[in-house]
Amino acid sequence: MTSYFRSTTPLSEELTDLIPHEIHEYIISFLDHTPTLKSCSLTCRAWLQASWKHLLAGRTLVVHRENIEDLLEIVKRNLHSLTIIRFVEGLYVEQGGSLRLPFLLSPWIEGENQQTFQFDDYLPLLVGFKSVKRLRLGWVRGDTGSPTVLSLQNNFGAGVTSLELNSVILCSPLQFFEILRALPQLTSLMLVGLKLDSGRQDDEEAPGTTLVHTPKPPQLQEFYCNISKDVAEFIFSWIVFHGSIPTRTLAVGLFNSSTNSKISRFLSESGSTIETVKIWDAYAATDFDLTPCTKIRTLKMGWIHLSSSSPPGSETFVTDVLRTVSSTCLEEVLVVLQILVSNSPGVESDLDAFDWRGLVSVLQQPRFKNLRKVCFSVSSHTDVVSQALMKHIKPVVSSGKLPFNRDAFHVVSWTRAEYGGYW
Amino acid sequence: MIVLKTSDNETFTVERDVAERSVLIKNMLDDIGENSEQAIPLPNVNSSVLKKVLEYCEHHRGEPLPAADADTSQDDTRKRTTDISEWDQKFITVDQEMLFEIILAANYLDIKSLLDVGCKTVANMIKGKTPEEIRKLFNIVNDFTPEEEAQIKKENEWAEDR
Repeated sequence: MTSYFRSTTPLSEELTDLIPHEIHEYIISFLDHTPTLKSCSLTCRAWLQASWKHLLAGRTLVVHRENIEDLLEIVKRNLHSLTIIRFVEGLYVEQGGSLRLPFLLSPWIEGENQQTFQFDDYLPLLVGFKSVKRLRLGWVRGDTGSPTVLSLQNNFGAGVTSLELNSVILCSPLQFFEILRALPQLTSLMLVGLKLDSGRQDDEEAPGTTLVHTPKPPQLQEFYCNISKDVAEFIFSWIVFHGSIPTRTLAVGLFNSSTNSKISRFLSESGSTIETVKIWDAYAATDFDLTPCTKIRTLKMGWIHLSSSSPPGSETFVTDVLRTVSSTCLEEVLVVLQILVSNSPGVESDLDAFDWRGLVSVLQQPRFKNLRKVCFSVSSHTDVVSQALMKHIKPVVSSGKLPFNRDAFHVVSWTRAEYGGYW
Repeated sequence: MIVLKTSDNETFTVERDVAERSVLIKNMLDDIGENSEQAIPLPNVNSSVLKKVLEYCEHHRGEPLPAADADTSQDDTRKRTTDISEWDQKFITVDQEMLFEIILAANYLDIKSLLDVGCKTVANMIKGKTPEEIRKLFNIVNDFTPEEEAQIKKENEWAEDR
Protein backbone atom coordinates (compact mmCIF):
# COMPACT_ATOMS: atom_id res chain seq x y z
CA MET A 1 0.00 0.00 0.00
CA THR A 2 1.22 3.45 -0.84
CA SER A 3 2.43 5.41 2.12
CA TYR A 4 1.84 9.14 2.40
CA PHE A 5 3.46 11.54 4.76
CA ARG A 6 1.64 14.73 3.87
CA SER A 7 1.59 17.32 6.56
CA THR A 8 -1.96 18.16 7.51
CA THR A 9 -3.04 21.62 8.51
CA PRO A 10 -6.61 22.64 9.23
CA LEU A 11 -8.64 23.51 6.16
CA SER A 12 -10.21 26.94 5.90
CA GLU A 13 -13.69 27.08 7.36
CA GLU A 14 -14.99 28.40 4.07
CA LEU A 15 -13.81 25.24 2.33
CA THR A 16 -14.85 22.77 5.02
CA ASP A 17 -18.35 24.22 4.93
CA LEU A 18 -18.53 23.25 1.27
CA ILE A 19 -17.60 19.59 1.81
CA PRO A 20 -20.79 17.56 1.91
CA HIS A 21 -21.15 14.74 4.40
CA GLU A 22 -21.19 12.20 1.57
CA ILE A 23 -17.57 13.11 0.78
CA HIS A 24 -16.58 12.44 4.39
CA GLU A 25 -18.34 9.08 4.17
CA TYR A 26 -16.64 8.31 0.89
CA ILE A 27 -13.22 9.07 2.38
CA ILE A 28 -14.00 6.77 5.32
CA SER A 29 -15.03 4.03 2.89
CA PHE A 30 -11.44 3.84 1.64
CA LEU A 31 -10.03 3.20 5.09
CA ASP A 32 -9.13 -0.36 5.98
CA HIS A 33 -6.95 0.55 8.95
CA THR A 34 -8.69 -0.46 12.16
CA PRO A 35 -7.17 2.17 14.50
CA THR A 36 -8.01 4.97 12.03
CA LEU A 37 -11.58 3.73 11.62
CA LYS A 38 -11.87 3.72 15.40
CA SER A 39 -10.53 7.29 15.47
CA CYS A 40 -13.08 8.28 12.82
CA SER A 41 -15.88 6.76 14.90
CA LEU A 42 -14.87 9.07 17.75
CA THR A 43 -14.62 12.19 15.59
CA CYS A 44 -18.24 13.31 15.72
CA ARG A 45 -21.78 11.93 15.59
CA ALA A 46 -22.04 12.43 11.84
CA TRP A 47 -19.04 10.18 11.23
CA LEU A 48 -20.05 7.38 13.59
CA GLN A 49 -22.36 5.43 11.31
CA ALA A 50 -20.00 5.30 8.31
CA SER A 51 -17.04 4.50 10.55
CA TRP A 52 -18.78 1.59 12.24
CA LYS A 53 -20.09 0.32 8.93
CA HIS A 54 -16.57 0.01 7.54
CA LEU A 55 -14.98 -0.99 10.84
CA LEU A 56 -17.28 -3.99 11.09
CA ALA A 57 -17.41 -4.89 7.40
CA GLY A 58 -15.91 -8.32 6.85
CA ARG A 59 -15.24 -8.74 10.56
CA THR A 60 -16.57 -11.51 12.79
CA LEU A 61 -17.57 -10.90 16.39
CA VAL A 62 -16.74 -13.85 18.59
CA VAL A 63 -19.35 -14.39 21.29
CA HIS A 64 -19.06 -16.95 24.06
CA ARG A 65 -20.07 -17.42 27.65
CA GLU A 66 -17.48 -14.99 28.94
CA ASN A 67 -18.62 -11.99 26.90
CA ILE A 68 -22.25 -12.72 26.05
CA GLU A 69 -23.54 -10.49 28.85
CA ASP A 70 -21.48 -7.55 27.57
CA LEU A 71 -22.92 -8.06 24.12
CA LEU A 72 -26.47 -8.30 25.46
CA GLU A 73 -26.01 -4.93 27.16
CA ILE A 74 -25.21 -3.39 23.79
CA VAL A 75 -28.15 -5.26 22.23
CA LYS A 76 -30.43 -3.64 24.81
CA ARG A 77 -29.08 -0.18 24.09
CA ASN A 78 -29.46 -0.79 20.37
CA LEU A 79 -33.22 -0.60 20.82
CA HIS A 80 -33.03 3.15 21.42
CA SER A 81 -29.62 4.36 20.21
CA LEU A 82 -26.98 3.75 17.57
CA THR A 83 -24.69 0.85 18.45
CA ILE A 84 -22.39 -1.53 16.59
CA ILE A 85 -25.11 -4.22 16.57
CA ARG A 86 -26.76 -3.15 13.33
CA PHE A 87 -23.42 -3.10 11.49
CA VAL A 88 -22.15 -6.55 12.50
CA GLU A 89 -21.66 -8.69 9.38
CA GLY A 90 -20.10 -11.77 10.91
CA LEU A 91 -21.04 -13.44 14.16
CA TYR A 92 -19.46 -16.49 15.74
CA VAL A 93 -21.59 -17.63 18.63
CA GLU A 94 -20.26 -20.47 20.71
CA GLN A 95 -22.50 -22.18 23.21
CA GLY A 96 -21.19 -22.55 26.76
CA GLY A 97 -19.12 -25.60 27.52
CA SER A 98 -16.71 -25.44 24.65
CA LEU A 99 -13.42 -27.20 25.13
CA ARG A 100 -11.77 -24.35 23.29
CA LEU A 101 -12.54 -21.99 26.14
CA PRO A 102 -10.38 -21.86 29.26
CA PHE A 103 -12.35 -24.40 31.27
CA LEU A 104 -10.00 -24.83 34.17
CA LEU A 105 -9.52 -21.16 34.83
CA SER A 106 -13.19 -20.42 34.72
CA PRO A 107 -14.99 -20.19 38.07
CA TRP A 108 -18.32 -21.50 36.79
CA ILE A 109 -17.02 -24.95 36.04
CA GLU A 110 -15.86 -25.55 39.57
CA GLY A 111 -19.22 -26.05 41.03
CA GLU A 112 -21.78 -23.63 42.28
CA ASN A 113 -22.15 -21.08 39.53
CA GLN A 114 -22.67 -23.42 36.66
CA GLN A 115 -24.67 -21.09 34.52
CA THR A 116 -23.68 -21.91 30.99
CA PHE A 117 -24.56 -20.06 27.86
CA GLN A 118 -27.17 -22.16 26.07
CA PHE A 119 -28.40 -21.28 22.62
CA ASP A 120 -32.03 -21.87 23.49
CA ASP A 121 -31.80 -19.21 26.22
CA TYR A 122 -29.56 -16.67 24.55
CA LEU A 123 -30.09 -16.74 20.80
CA PRO A 124 -33.64 -15.34 21.13
CA LEU A 125 -32.10 -12.32 22.87
CA LEU A 126 -29.74 -11.52 20.03
CA VAL A 127 -31.98 -9.11 18.17
CA GLY A 128 -31.17 -6.15 15.95
CA PHE A 129 -28.35 -7.78 13.97
CA LYS A 130 -29.64 -6.47 10.66
CA SER A 131 -26.41 -6.85 8.69
CA VAL A 132 -25.28 -10.34 9.65
CA LYS A 133 -24.26 -12.28 6.54
CA ARG A 134 -21.91 -14.81 8.07
CA LEU A 135 -22.97 -16.90 11.01
CA ARG A 136 -20.83 -19.44 12.76
CA LEU A 137 -22.34 -21.60 15.45
CA GLY A 138 -20.04 -23.54 17.68
CA TRP A 139 -20.56 -26.28 20.18
CA VAL A 140 -24.25 -26.76 19.51
CA ARG A 141 -25.53 -29.80 21.34
CA GLY A 142 -28.45 -32.17 20.92
CA ASP A 143 -30.31 -30.52 23.80
CA THR A 144 -30.71 -27.43 21.65
CA GLY A 145 -34.30 -27.21 20.57
CA SER A 146 -36.84 -25.17 18.69
CA PRO A 147 -36.03 -21.78 20.33
CA THR A 148 -32.65 -21.91 18.62
CA VAL A 149 -34.10 -22.64 15.20
CA LEU A 150 -36.78 -19.98 15.64
CA SER A 151 -34.20 -17.41 16.70
CA LEU A 152 -32.03 -18.21 13.73
CA GLN A 153 -35.02 -17.69 11.50
CA ASN A 154 -36.34 -14.55 13.16
CA ASN A 155 -33.12 -12.81 14.15
CA PHE A 156 -30.77 -13.71 11.31
CA GLY A 157 -32.61 -15.70 8.66
CA ALA A 158 -33.16 -13.01 6.05
CA GLY A 159 -29.57 -11.93 5.53
CA VAL A 160 -27.33 -14.88 6.37
CA THR A 161 -25.62 -16.28 3.28
CA SER A 162 -22.84 -18.17 5.01
CA LEU A 163 -23.18 -20.67 7.83
CA GLU A 164 -20.53 -22.63 9.65
CA LEU A 165 -21.44 -25.38 12.08
CA ASN A 166 -18.34 -26.12 14.08
CA SER A 167 -18.08 -28.90 16.67
CA VAL A 168 -21.78 -29.53 16.56
CA ILE A 169 -23.69 -32.58 17.75
CA LEU A 170 -27.34 -32.54 16.75
CA CYS A 171 -29.92 -35.06 17.85
CA SER A 172 -30.92 -36.01 14.32
CA PRO A 173 -30.61 -35.05 10.64
CA LEU A 174 -34.02 -33.41 11.06
CA GLN A 175 -32.52 -30.82 13.37
CA PHE A 176 -29.81 -30.15 10.82
CA PHE A 177 -32.44 -29.58 8.13
CA GLU A 178 -34.40 -27.27 10.42
CA ILE A 179 -31.33 -25.11 10.93
CA LEU A 180 -30.80 -24.91 7.18
CA ARG A 181 -34.45 -24.11 6.61
CA ALA A 182 -34.18 -21.19 9.05
CA LEU A 183 -31.55 -19.59 6.80
CA PRO A 184 -33.06 -19.63 3.30
CA GLN A 185 -30.45 -17.41 1.64
CA LEU A 186 -27.49 -19.72 2.28
CA THR A 187 -24.90 -19.93 -0.47
CA SER A 188 -21.99 -21.04 1.68
CA LEU A 189 -22.00 -23.89 4.16
CA MET A 190 -19.11 -25.11 6.25
CA LEU A 191 -19.49 -28.24 8.34
CA VAL A 192 -16.65 -29.01 10.72
CA GLY A 193 -16.94 -31.74 13.31
CA LEU A 194 -20.66 -32.29 12.74
CA LYS A 195 -22.50 -35.24 14.22
CA LEU A 196 -26.16 -35.99 13.73
CA ASP A 197 -26.82 -38.45 16.53
CA SER A 198 -26.52 -37.18 20.06
CA GLY A 199 -27.88 -40.41 21.48
CA ARG A 200 -31.40 -39.86 20.27
CA GLN A 201 -30.91 -40.93 16.70
CA ASP A 202 -34.03 -42.07 15.01
CA ASP A 203 -33.64 -45.18 12.92
CA GLU A 204 -36.09 -43.82 10.44
CA GLU A 205 -33.72 -40.92 9.78
CA ALA A 206 -30.91 -43.28 8.92
CA PRO A 207 -29.04 -42.33 5.78
CA GLY A 208 -30.43 -43.76 2.60
CA THR A 209 -33.82 -44.82 3.89
CA THR A 210 -35.80 -41.60 4.04
CA LEU A 211 -33.97 -39.28 1.66
CA VAL A 212 -37.22 -38.90 -0.18
CA HIS A 213 -38.58 -36.96 2.80
CA THR A 214 -35.59 -34.67 3.10
CA PRO A 215 -35.75 -31.04 1.94
CA LYS A 216 -33.82 -29.85 -1.07
CA PRO A 217 -30.33 -28.63 -0.22
CA PRO A 218 -29.57 -24.91 -0.43
CA GLN A 219 -28.06 -23.65 -3.68
CA LEU A 220 -24.56 -23.67 -2.28
CA GLN A 221 -21.80 -21.94 -4.17
CA GLU A 222 -19.32 -22.85 -1.46
CA PHE A 223 -19.43 -26.13 0.40
CA TYR A 224 -16.82 -26.97 3.00
CA CYS A 225 -17.19 -30.33 4.62
CA ASN A 226 -14.70 -31.70 7.09
CA ILE A 227 -16.72 -34.26 9.00
CA SER A 228 -16.61 -37.91 9.93
CA LYS A 229 -17.10 -40.58 7.29
CA ASP A 230 -20.66 -41.58 8.16
CA VAL A 231 -21.96 -38.02 8.27
CA ALA A 232 -20.09 -37.11 5.08
CA GLU A 233 -21.64 -40.08 3.31
CA PHE A 234 -25.10 -39.06 4.48
CA ILE A 235 -24.66 -35.41 3.52
CA PHE A 236 -23.34 -36.16 0.05
CA SER A 237 -26.03 -38.81 -0.54
CA TRP A 238 -28.66 -36.28 0.48
CA ILE A 239 -27.38 -33.64 -1.95
CA VAL A 240 -27.01 -36.13 -4.79
CA PHE A 241 -30.52 -37.45 -4.17
CA HIS A 242 -31.89 -33.99 -4.97
CA GLY A 243 -29.76 -33.44 -8.08
CA SER A 244 -27.09 -30.85 -8.70
CA ILE A 245 -26.17 -27.65 -6.87
CA PRO A 246 -24.19 -24.77 -8.42
CA THR A 247 -21.09 -25.23 -6.30
CA ARG A 248 -17.97 -23.31 -7.27
CA THR A 249 -15.79 -24.19 -4.29
CA LEU A 250 -15.72 -27.57 -2.61
CA ALA A 251 -13.61 -28.52 0.39
CA VAL A 252 -13.68 -32.10 1.64
CA GLY A 253 -11.86 -34.67 3.69
CA LEU A 254 -11.01 -37.87 1.85
CA PHE A 255 -11.07 -40.70 4.34
CA ASN A 256 -11.77 -43.95 2.57
CA SER A 257 -13.05 -45.48 -0.60
CA SER A 258 -16.67 -45.51 0.57
CA THR A 259 -16.78 -41.77 1.41
CA ASN A 260 -14.80 -40.92 -1.69
CA SER A 261 -17.33 -42.76 -3.87
CA LYS A 262 -20.14 -40.63 -2.43
CA ILE A 263 -18.14 -37.46 -3.02
CA SER A 264 -17.33 -38.56 -6.56
CA ARG A 265 -21.01 -39.21 -7.16
CA PHE A 266 -21.65 -35.66 -5.97
CA LEU A 267 -18.98 -34.42 -8.37
CA SER A 268 -20.60 -36.26 -11.25
CA GLU A 269 -23.81 -34.31 -10.51
CA SER A 270 -22.42 -30.92 -9.55
CA GLY A 271 -18.76 -30.98 -10.66
CA SER A 272 -19.25 -29.05 -13.89
CA THR A 273 -19.49 -25.71 -12.07
CA ILE A 274 -16.67 -26.32 -9.60
CA GLU A 275 -13.62 -24.07 -9.94
CA THR A 276 -11.81 -24.80 -6.68
CA VAL A 277 -11.33 -28.07 -4.82
CA LYS A 278 -9.65 -28.20 -1.45
CA ILE A 279 -8.83 -31.52 0.14
CA TRP A 280 -8.50 -30.96 3.86
CA ASP A 281 -7.80 -34.45 5.08
CA ALA A 282 -5.75 -36.40 2.59
CA TYR A 283 -6.04 -39.96 3.86
CA ALA A 284 -7.08 -41.94 0.79
CA ALA A 285 -7.51 -41.07 -2.87
CA THR A 286 -9.17 -44.34 -3.88
CA ASP A 287 -12.41 -43.85 -5.82
CA PHE A 288 -12.04 -40.06 -5.75
CA ASP A 289 -12.57 -38.71 -9.23
CA LEU A 290 -12.21 -35.13 -10.44
CA THR A 291 -13.02 -35.99 -14.06
CA PRO A 292 -16.42 -34.22 -14.02
CA CYS A 293 -14.83 -30.97 -12.79
CA THR A 294 -14.19 -29.59 -16.25
CA LYS A 295 -13.78 -26.01 -15.05
CA ILE A 296 -11.48 -26.61 -12.12
CA ARG A 297 -8.81 -23.91 -11.81
CA THR A 298 -7.42 -24.50 -8.35
CA LEU A 299 -6.66 -27.75 -6.58
CA LYS A 300 -5.36 -27.75 -3.03
CA MET A 301 -4.34 -30.92 -1.21
CA GLY A 302 -3.23 -31.40 2.33
CA TRP A 303 -2.11 -32.28 4.81
CA ILE A 304 0.05 -34.87 3.13
CA HIS A 305 1.84 -36.52 6.05
CA LEU A 306 5.35 -37.67 5.33
CA SER A 307 6.76 -39.95 7.99
CA SER A 308 7.18 -43.62 8.64
CA SER A 309 3.77 -43.63 10.37
CA SER A 310 1.92 -41.93 7.51
CA PRO A 311 -1.35 -43.45 6.38
CA PRO A 312 -0.82 -45.93 3.53
CA GLY A 313 -1.05 -44.14 0.21
CA SER A 314 0.13 -40.75 1.48
CA GLU A 315 3.15 -40.87 -0.79
CA THR A 316 1.06 -41.29 -3.94
CA PHE A 317 -1.98 -39.26 -2.87
CA VAL A 318 -1.12 -36.17 -4.92
CA THR A 319 -0.32 -38.19 -8.03
CA ASP A 320 -3.45 -40.29 -7.67
CA VAL A 321 -5.67 -37.22 -7.45
CA LEU A 322 -3.94 -35.40 -10.31
CA ARG A 323 -4.41 -38.45 -12.53
CA THR A 324 -8.17 -37.95 -12.29
CA VAL A 325 -8.04 -34.32 -13.44
CA SER A 326 -9.49 -33.94 -16.93
CA SER A 327 -9.80 -30.16 -17.05
CA THR A 328 -7.41 -28.10 -19.12
CA CYS A 329 -8.29 -25.04 -17.03
CA LEU A 330 -6.21 -26.03 -14.00
CA GLU A 331 -3.97 -23.09 -13.09
CA GLU A 332 -2.87 -23.73 -9.54
CA VAL A 333 -1.95 -26.78 -7.50
CA LEU A 334 -1.10 -26.45 -3.84
CA VAL A 335 0.30 -29.39 -1.90
CA VAL A 336 0.46 -28.92 1.86
CA LEU A 337 3.13 -31.25 3.23
CA GLN A 338 3.49 -32.05 6.89
CA ILE A 339 6.92 -33.30 7.73
CA LEU A 340 6.97 -34.87 11.14
CA VAL A 341 10.62 -35.78 11.66
CA SER A 342 13.16 -33.26 12.82
CA ASN A 343 16.49 -34.85 11.97
CA SER A 344 17.81 -34.11 8.52
CA PRO A 345 18.59 -37.61 7.18
CA GLY A 346 15.10 -38.69 8.24
CA VAL A 347 13.52 -35.89 6.22
CA GLU A 348 15.42 -36.89 3.12
CA SER A 349 14.38 -40.47 3.51
CA ASP A 350 10.73 -39.49 4.03
CA LEU A 351 10.88 -37.23 1.00
CA ASP A 352 12.35 -40.00 -1.10
CA ALA A 353 9.25 -42.01 -0.35
CA PHE A 354 7.08 -39.26 -1.87
CA ASP A 355 6.00 -40.21 -5.37
CA TRP A 356 8.05 -37.59 -7.20
CA ARG A 357 8.39 -39.77 -10.30
CA GLY A 358 4.65 -40.27 -10.56
CA LEU A 359 4.01 -36.58 -10.00
CA VAL A 360 6.49 -35.47 -12.63
CA SER A 361 5.11 -38.06 -15.01
CA VAL A 362 1.49 -36.96 -14.63
CA LEU A 363 2.38 -33.27 -14.91
CA GLN A 364 3.79 -33.95 -18.38
CA GLN A 365 0.26 -34.52 -19.65
CA PRO A 366 -0.85 -31.79 -22.10
CA ARG A 367 -3.96 -31.05 -20.04
CA PHE A 368 -1.75 -29.29 -17.49
CA LYS A 369 -0.58 -26.74 -20.05
CA ASN A 370 -2.26 -23.85 -18.22
CA LEU A 371 -0.62 -24.50 -14.85
CA ARG A 372 0.91 -21.32 -13.54
CA LYS A 373 1.66 -22.39 -10.00
CA VAL A 374 2.61 -25.70 -8.45
CA CYS A 375 3.30 -24.88 -4.86
CA PHE A 376 4.54 -27.10 -2.06
CA SER A 377 3.78 -25.57 1.28
CA VAL A 378 5.76 -27.38 3.94
CA SER A 379 5.70 -27.40 7.72
CA SER A 380 9.52 -27.39 7.89
CA HIS A 381 12.68 -28.19 5.92
CA THR A 382 11.82 -25.93 2.98
CA ASP A 383 15.34 -26.21 1.55
CA VAL A 384 15.37 -29.99 1.62
CA VAL A 385 12.00 -30.15 -0.13
CA SER A 386 13.20 -27.66 -2.75
CA GLN A 387 16.23 -29.81 -3.45
CA ALA A 388 14.13 -32.97 -3.71
CA LEU A 389 11.72 -31.24 -6.08
CA MET A 390 14.46 -29.82 -8.29
CA LYS A 391 16.21 -33.17 -8.45
CA HIS A 392 13.13 -34.76 -9.96
CA ILE A 393 11.87 -32.03 -12.24
CA LYS A 394 15.23 -30.99 -13.71
CA PRO A 395 15.49 -33.87 -16.21
CA VAL A 396 11.93 -33.26 -17.40
CA VAL A 397 12.53 -29.55 -17.79
CA SER A 398 15.76 -30.24 -19.72
CA SER A 399 13.95 -32.61 -22.04
CA GLY A 400 11.30 -29.96 -22.73
CA LYS A 401 8.48 -32.31 -21.82
CA LEU A 402 6.85 -30.07 -19.26
CA PRO A 403 3.78 -28.45 -20.84
CA PHE A 404 4.01 -25.40 -18.57
CA ASN A 405 6.73 -23.02 -17.43
CA ARG A 406 9.21 -24.41 -14.90
CA ASP A 407 8.91 -21.16 -12.92
CA ALA A 408 5.51 -22.43 -11.81
CA PHE A 409 7.18 -24.54 -9.11
CA HIS A 410 7.48 -23.04 -5.64
CA VAL A 411 8.33 -24.34 -2.20
CA VAL A 412 7.18 -22.17 0.70
CA SER A 413 6.71 -22.42 4.44
CA TRP A 414 3.29 -22.98 5.92
CA THR A 415 1.14 -19.95 6.41
CA ARG A 416 -0.96 -19.40 9.50
CA ALA A 417 -3.95 -20.82 7.62
CA GLU A 418 -2.10 -24.03 6.90
CA TYR A 419 -1.09 -24.41 10.53
CA GLY A 420 -4.75 -23.97 11.38
CA GLY A 421 -5.74 -26.70 8.97
CA TYR A 422 -7.49 -24.38 6.49
CA TRP A 423 -6.14 -23.50 3.09
CA MET B 1 -14.49 21.20 -29.47
CA ILE B 2 -16.36 22.22 -26.34
CA VAL B 3 -16.16 25.50 -24.45
CA LEU B 4 -16.34 25.44 -20.66
CA LYS B 5 -16.86 28.59 -18.60
CA THR B 6 -15.63 28.69 -15.00
CA SER B 7 -16.94 30.56 -11.96
CA ASP B 8 -14.30 33.28 -12.50
CA ASN B 9 -15.44 33.71 -16.12
CA GLU B 10 -12.49 32.06 -17.81
CA THR B 11 -13.20 29.87 -20.80
CA PHE B 12 -11.48 26.61 -21.72
CA THR B 13 -11.79 25.02 -25.15
CA VAL B 14 -11.39 21.26 -24.92
CA GLU B 15 -11.99 18.20 -27.05
CA ARG B 16 -15.34 16.58 -26.49
CA ASP B 17 -14.00 13.18 -25.39
CA VAL B 18 -11.86 14.91 -22.75
CA ALA B 19 -14.79 16.96 -21.44
CA GLU B 20 -17.03 13.91 -21.45
CA ARG B 21 -14.97 12.26 -18.73
CA SER B 22 -17.38 14.34 -16.67
CA VAL B 23 -20.80 12.72 -16.53
CA LEU B 24 -22.32 16.13 -15.75
CA ILE B 25 -20.85 17.71 -18.89
CA LYS B 26 -21.73 14.65 -20.99
CA ASN B 27 -25.35 14.86 -19.90
CA MET B 28 -25.43 18.61 -20.57
CA LEU B 29 -24.00 18.06 -24.06
CA ASP B 30 -26.57 15.36 -24.72
CA ASP B 31 -29.28 17.80 -23.67
CA ILE B 32 -28.18 20.81 -25.70
CA GLY B 33 -27.38 18.84 -28.84
CA GLU B 34 -24.34 18.30 -31.09
CA ASN B 35 -24.05 21.66 -32.79
CA SER B 36 -24.46 24.09 -29.97
CA GLU B 37 -21.64 26.59 -29.69
CA GLN B 38 -22.80 27.76 -26.30
CA ALA B 39 -20.20 27.73 -23.53
CA ILE B 40 -21.09 25.32 -20.77
CA PRO B 41 -21.20 27.19 -17.47
CA LEU B 42 -19.51 25.53 -14.50
CA PRO B 43 -20.39 27.93 -11.67
CA ASN B 44 -18.96 25.67 -8.96
CA VAL B 45 -15.46 25.33 -10.41
CA ASN B 46 -12.84 28.06 -10.69
CA SER B 47 -10.22 28.24 -13.42
CA SER B 48 -7.24 26.97 -11.43
CA VAL B 49 -9.18 23.88 -10.34
CA LEU B 50 -10.67 23.26 -13.78
CA LYS B 51 -7.18 23.42 -15.28
CA LYS B 52 -6.11 20.58 -12.98
CA VAL B 53 -9.28 18.62 -13.64
CA LEU B 54 -8.80 18.89 -17.39
CA GLU B 55 -5.19 17.76 -17.02
CA TYR B 56 -6.53 14.62 -15.34
CA CYS B 57 -9.23 14.10 -17.99
CA GLU B 58 -6.74 14.57 -20.81
CA HIS B 59 -4.41 11.94 -19.33
CA HIS B 60 -7.22 9.44 -18.81
CA ARG B 61 -9.10 10.08 -22.07
CA GLY B 62 -10.20 6.89 -23.78
CA GLU B 63 -10.25 4.82 -20.60
CA PRO B 64 -13.54 3.04 -19.92
CA LEU B 65 -15.98 4.99 -17.80
CA PRO B 66 -17.82 3.29 -14.92
CA ALA B 67 -21.27 2.08 -15.94
CA ALA B 68 -23.99 4.57 -15.05
CA ASP B 69 -25.85 1.99 -13.00
CA ALA B 70 -22.74 0.47 -11.37
CA ASP B 71 -23.58 -0.68 -7.88
CA THR B 72 -20.80 0.77 -5.75
CA SER B 73 -21.88 -1.16 -2.69
CA GLN B 74 -20.79 -4.37 -4.41
CA ASP B 75 -17.20 -3.38 -4.96
CA ASP B 76 -15.97 -3.08 -1.41
CA THR B 77 -12.87 -5.13 -2.07
CA ARG B 78 -11.85 -2.93 -4.98
CA LYS B 79 -12.80 0.24 -3.21
CA ARG B 80 -11.15 -0.39 0.09
CA THR B 81 -7.66 0.03 -1.17
CA THR B 82 -5.77 3.27 -0.98
CA ASP B 83 -3.37 2.34 -3.77
CA ILE B 84 -3.00 5.11 -6.35
CA SER B 85 -1.20 4.82 -9.68
CA GLU B 86 2.11 6.61 -10.09
CA TRP B 87 0.82 9.25 -12.50
CA ASP B 88 -2.23 9.94 -10.35
CA GLN B 89 -0.02 10.26 -7.26
CA LYS B 90 2.11 12.86 -8.96
CA PHE B 91 -0.97 14.63 -10.28
CA ILE B 92 -2.59 14.82 -6.85
CA THR B 93 0.56 16.12 -5.13
CA VAL B 94 -0.93 19.56 -4.59
CA ASP B 95 -1.50 21.72 -1.56
CA GLN B 96 -4.24 20.65 0.80
CA GLU B 97 -6.77 23.32 -0.20
CA MET B 98 -6.34 22.41 -3.87
CA LEU B 99 -6.75 18.71 -3.02
CA PHE B 100 -10.15 19.34 -1.46
CA GLU B 101 -11.10 21.75 -4.26
CA ILE B 102 -10.35 18.96 -6.75
CA ILE B 103 -12.47 16.53 -4.72
CA LEU B 104 -15.36 19.00 -4.69
CA ALA B 105 -15.01 19.61 -8.41
CA ALA B 106 -14.83 15.87 -9.17
CA ASN B 107 -17.97 15.37 -7.09
CA TYR B 108 -19.79 18.22 -8.83
CA LEU B 109 -18.64 17.25 -12.33
CA ASP B 110 -19.28 13.57 -11.58
CA ILE B 111 -15.83 12.20 -12.44
CA LYS B 112 -15.77 9.11 -10.27
CA SER B 113 -12.18 8.05 -10.90
CA LEU B 114 -10.89 11.50 -9.94
CA LEU B 115 -13.10 11.56 -6.88
CA ASP B 116 -11.60 8.19 -5.91
CA VAL B 117 -8.03 9.47 -6.32
CA GLY B 118 -8.78 12.52 -4.17
CA CYS B 119 -10.61 10.64 -1.45
CA LYS B 120 -7.99 7.89 -1.34
CA THR B 121 -5.35 10.59 -0.88
CA VAL B 122 -7.24 12.09 2.03
CA ALA B 123 -7.78 8.58 3.48
CA ASN B 124 -4.00 8.12 3.35
CA MET B 125 -3.53 11.50 5.02
CA ILE B 126 -5.71 10.65 8.00
CA LYS B 127 -4.34 7.13 8.43
CA GLY B 128 -3.01 6.78 11.96
CA LYS B 129 -4.42 10.10 13.15
CA THR B 130 -6.22 10.56 16.45
CA PRO B 131 -9.84 11.75 16.58
CA GLU B 132 -8.62 15.18 17.66
CA GLU B 133 -6.20 15.44 14.73
CA ILE B 134 -8.94 14.43 12.29
CA ARG B 135 -11.32 16.98 13.80
CA LYS B 136 -8.67 19.70 13.42
CA LEU B 137 -8.11 18.90 9.76
CA PHE B 138 -11.80 19.06 8.89
CA ASN B 139 -12.76 21.77 11.40
CA ILE B 140 -15.14 19.36 13.08
CA VAL B 141 -16.55 20.02 16.52
CA ASN B 142 -16.63 17.11 18.94
CA ASP B 143 -20.32 16.71 19.74
CA PHE B 144 -19.99 13.58 21.90
CA THR B 145 -20.43 13.64 25.64
CA PRO B 146 -17.62 11.97 27.64
CA GLU B 147 -20.07 9.13 28.44
CA GLU B 148 -20.82 8.61 24.76
CA GLU B 149 -17.13 8.58 23.93
CA ALA B 150 -16.52 5.97 26.59
CA GLN B 151 -19.36 3.84 25.22
CA ILE B 152 -18.07 4.05 21.63
CA LYS B 153 -14.59 3.04 22.80
CA LYS B 154 -16.11 0.08 24.62
CA GLU B 155 -18.04 -1.03 21.55
CA ASN B 156 -14.99 -0.52 19.36
CA GLU B 157 -13.21 -3.15 21.44
CA TRP B 158 -15.42 -5.74 19.74
CA ALA B 159 -13.74 -4.87 16.47
CA GLU B 160 -10.28 -6.10 17.30
CA ASP B 161 -8.20 -7.63 14.50
CA ARG B 162 -8.03 -11.38 14.94
